[in-house]
Amino acid sequence: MPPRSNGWIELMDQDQTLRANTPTVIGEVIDDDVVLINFETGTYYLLGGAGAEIWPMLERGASLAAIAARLGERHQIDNGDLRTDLETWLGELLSENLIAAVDAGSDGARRDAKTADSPDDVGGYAPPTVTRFDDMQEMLLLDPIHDVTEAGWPHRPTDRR
Amino acid sequence: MGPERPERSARPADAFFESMWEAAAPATVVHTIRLAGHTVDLCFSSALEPRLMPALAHLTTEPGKRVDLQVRLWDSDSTGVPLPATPWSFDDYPDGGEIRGPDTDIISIAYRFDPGALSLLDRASGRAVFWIDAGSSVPGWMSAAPLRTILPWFIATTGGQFVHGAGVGLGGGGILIAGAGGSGKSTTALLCATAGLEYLGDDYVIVGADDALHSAYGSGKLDDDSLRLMPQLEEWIVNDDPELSKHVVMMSRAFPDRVVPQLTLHAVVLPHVTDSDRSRFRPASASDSLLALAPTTMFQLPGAGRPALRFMADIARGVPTFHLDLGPPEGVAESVSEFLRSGGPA
Repeated sequence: MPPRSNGWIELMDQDQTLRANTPTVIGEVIDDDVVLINFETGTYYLLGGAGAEIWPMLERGASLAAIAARLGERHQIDNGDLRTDLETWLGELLSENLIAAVDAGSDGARRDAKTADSPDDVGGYAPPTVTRFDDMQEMLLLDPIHDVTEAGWPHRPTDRR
Repeated sequence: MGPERPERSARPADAFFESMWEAAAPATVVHTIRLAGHTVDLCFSSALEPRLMPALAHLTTEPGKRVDLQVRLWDSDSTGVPLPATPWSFDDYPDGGEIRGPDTDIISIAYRFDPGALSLLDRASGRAVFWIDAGSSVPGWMSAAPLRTILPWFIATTGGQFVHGAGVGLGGGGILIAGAGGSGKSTTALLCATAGLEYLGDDYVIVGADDALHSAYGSGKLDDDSLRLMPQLEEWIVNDDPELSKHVVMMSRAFPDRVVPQLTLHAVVLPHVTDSDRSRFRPASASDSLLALAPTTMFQLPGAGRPALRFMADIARGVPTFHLDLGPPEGVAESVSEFLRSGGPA
């Protein structure tokens, strides 16, 4: 799907710490990609391009400015171009609730970009991408508990028999 | 060697587990199975044994001196024993099944809302309890894959992982066929089995700590279209899974000599239904493999978190993966056989 920005990031302090929304969202870097799973929504994602380089930073907590500085240093590319890519991409991750802004005093913020790490073995820079898959949502939601009542639990409610 | 057992401490979950264990005492129909190299004693109530044992019967073994897991499976209807009072509140039930609060590193408790089944595992004592209100409440999918919560929890303690996928092989070497519903996974596996290949299962299989592929369930599922391709399976239909519009076939009865407990894992195969004139294998990436293995497994198994994702990522990194563009059904088994004989795509 095409990337979109919900405007969050433009309005946000670029020094604001962003952090992966764990444990609701977990991810695994594999080769040059990241597979992300959102347990709350039943949606999963593939992060490509520089996403595999950035995601470990977000797992520890990092600001847009810090990520841009880190990537710029590694790949020797213009900080302004990087920020444009990151604003779009991080906006997408925010809108999908894959990451969240965290308070300065939180655990996430204490692990900000100064200690943020990412794989050392990085190739050339490619803009980060995100691909969304929602074919599993129905499977996750097959077993809802929202309509449980005291009379119905733990035996099945009559309307489900 | 059996799984390592952690020490347990006195918590509400322990007391509830013990009350469930005692309530399950009338479950006295005992079978012993060998699951991924581990001995599991299954003690059924009379109403549950005919519904939940058939899919595990191909793993039956002689009772062993060492039992790695003892499971009591009981229902209130046939035993007359009501479910003990639960120590948690109605706010403790998340969508994923595991119950918040009493769930600990030692004891896991999950409630499957439909059909209303409670599963508990005590890792410290190597005991588990499965409860459902009546044998008649067991749905087709549960007969095809019984203990789909407890056994994955247990296998995780042994260093292995239940994976949503099928397994077929030739001469002891096998492939793990992975993919979401509708990808052709089950049909591919059943076509291979009916053509004479070795069969591990078509829905869930185990990748053990030994990196081998192990059988969990001797069942198979197929829809009406697939049944028309394999009419010889019709007499082995034991149940239906109306939720998926599929029939449950007991493959271990249809082909007792083809259903094997274990295969060496040579490749992960990702089938796709295509209009190609013949079935073709082509290389896939590690991320393709993980995308096919992980979400479908993790969204279905309570408690499958980061360790499960890492386990499947290790499979994806370490085991060659191929797309299988499916051609006409009559040629699928031969293509898979050739792939297994030659150790890769032709």
